[in-house]
Amino acid sequence: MGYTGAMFLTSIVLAVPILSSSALLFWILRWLRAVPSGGASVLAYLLLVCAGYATLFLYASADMLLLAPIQLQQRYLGRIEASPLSLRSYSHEGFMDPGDSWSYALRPDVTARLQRHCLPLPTAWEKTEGRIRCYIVSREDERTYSDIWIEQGRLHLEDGLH
Amino acid sequence: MSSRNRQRLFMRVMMVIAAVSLADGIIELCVSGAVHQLALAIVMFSLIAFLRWQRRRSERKSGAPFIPPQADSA
Repeated sequence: MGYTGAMFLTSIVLAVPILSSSALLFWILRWLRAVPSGGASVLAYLLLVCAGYATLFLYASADMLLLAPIQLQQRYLGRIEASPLSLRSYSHEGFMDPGDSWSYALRPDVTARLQRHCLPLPTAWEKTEGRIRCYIVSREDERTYSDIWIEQGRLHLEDGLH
Repeated sequence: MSSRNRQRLFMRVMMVIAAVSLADGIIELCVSGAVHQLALAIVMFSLIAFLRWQRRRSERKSGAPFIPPQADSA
């Protein structure tokens, strides 16, 4: 399930709280005469519902595109090596065991510095389809996994459940 | 604050949320191909445009001249 699918599912799960809180807000705005009356009031209510969903999606976006990768980098790399502005791709997979992956463009000096921390594991510097992956973090327990690697000047982060 | 100004404020707040959603939707489309936020922003802009059109039409019907927001606020 992709990012849009996950958000669609979240929209269904949170439909009742959003519809009811929008109705409450609409009732207050109606009392204040801040929304049009008559037939247009239905559209104003729909607009409020859309605003509620937009706020929810904005929160999810800030969490998934900004906060989660920053926390992941701080936890495993000790600092933020790739800024949110250098984010090149993001994907969300899975339903019961969701996982997220981010890809960042790195400056050559940062790439060189991070490559000095490649894991001395059989998986480190793994050759995949002719491309070389330099794993910096590769861990998993019974429930979660996290991988951080560099490939072709890009920092890849993966985190999720399995 | 009159009810007319309150309604204008409501529309402006909705416009700001729609604009932020549009910007976020474009970013999400670029980095992950997700379209949900962009679709929501388009729906919000459509509703705002329809509500504005309906307000102008009702003002014209009632005979009150439509005053553009800039002239009204001045």
